[in-house]
Amino acid sequence: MVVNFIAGGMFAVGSSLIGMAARRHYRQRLEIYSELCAFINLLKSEISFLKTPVGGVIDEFCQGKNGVFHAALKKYNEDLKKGAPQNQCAENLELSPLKTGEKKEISKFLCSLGKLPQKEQLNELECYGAKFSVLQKKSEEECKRLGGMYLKLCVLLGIALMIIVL
Amino acid sequence: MFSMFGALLKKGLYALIAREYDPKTVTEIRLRTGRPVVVQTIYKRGIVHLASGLPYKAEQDDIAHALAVASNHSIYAVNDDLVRGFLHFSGGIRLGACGEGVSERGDMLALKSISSLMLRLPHEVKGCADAVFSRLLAADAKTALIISPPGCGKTTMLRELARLFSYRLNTLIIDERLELAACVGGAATLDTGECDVISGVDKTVAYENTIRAMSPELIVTDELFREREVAAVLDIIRSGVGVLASVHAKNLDALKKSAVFAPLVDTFECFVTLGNNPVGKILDIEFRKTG
Repeated sequence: MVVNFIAGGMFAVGSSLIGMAARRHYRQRLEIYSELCAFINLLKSEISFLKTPVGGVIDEFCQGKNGVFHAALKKYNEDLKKGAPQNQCAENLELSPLKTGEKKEISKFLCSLGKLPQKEQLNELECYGAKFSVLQKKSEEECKRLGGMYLKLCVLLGIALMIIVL
Repeated sequence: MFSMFGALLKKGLYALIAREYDPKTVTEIRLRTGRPVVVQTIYKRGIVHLASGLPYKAEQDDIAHALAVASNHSIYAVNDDLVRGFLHFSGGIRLGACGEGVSERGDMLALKSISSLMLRLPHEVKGCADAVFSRLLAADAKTALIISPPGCGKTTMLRELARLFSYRLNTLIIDERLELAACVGGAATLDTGECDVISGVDKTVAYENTIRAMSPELIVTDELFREREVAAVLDIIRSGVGVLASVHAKNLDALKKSAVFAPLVDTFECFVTLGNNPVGKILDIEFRKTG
């Protein structure tokens, strides 16, 4: 009976943890897109008023922050400073919550930075900003709908398994 | 200093250049898409070879890499310089660029499809101006014009003269193209002694601002080019401030024949002509005959 009780408890806890991991996955996706949009907004203001180089904007944006997107951006900037080619730095982004295609889009965006004169650069940022804000809204909806649903399902599954075992 | 080129060049190309040429003597590297890379040293001019012996031909990627590094991966931040045909990089390295201009109503907005780059490395040669300096002191002259075609060491000579004079006079360097003092974050990275330096500012604007604000006894500036720059320099000399400047010309006679530059010949006290065999060789020091 004690063994069954422990096993049931473990199933319930394990299943809940899986649910929480699923929810965290969707939250991280949302965080990445939200931060990406915030980064684009900062780029737009820094480029239009001060023409701050991309590296400087990244430093300012990442200062004191430790999210997934910030970590990836910091590494990208460090690689650039070491003299690695821009496309290579962008391809090596560590954004695990995103699918390969989504990661490629962000790599493409980073690769496009700093290659155009001010006016054209700002226009391009406007386009990317619009594109990523759509993805941000989509990921926000996914986070609410799927993240919550997976958590509830996993908790329920854990309770069901616990009942069966008991 | 040569190692700074390393950041601008892709690793393989840098290694090939360092294998064939003495890094300390390299003054220029020219990259042209699809053409062999040309290296100019103090003593000779040559091309870069692959290990197989074939010439290394520059690719668009070599040029894009140099531009990206020099602009800090931010072309928009240096577009104004690029429109004027050059970029500057740490340590006074200057990148001259050629490509396709984008214009609107006669104004050049951008330079695209850049296909040629010239990387020029500044050199500090302590003692290269000793002879000129002692002649200027002996003649109590405070105005001198360094004359030579491009690539003969005018900037190096001016920098050294500025350094030597800075211990005697309040000396101001107007470094429009960031080659004389190679300032990074406002501080000179090359030895300019006790000089004050204003960099990245149009000469004529800098003259006006600094003469009032800094009260210099001597102004040092590079590459007089336009009529209004000549007029500004003449005005400064008239106001009693010394000027050490440089100008592109084969020799003093060529300068006398130029309508734009001829007034300089009647105003400066000393004319130093440089040659390029070897780079920086003083061909002539001539003082203006007065009375």
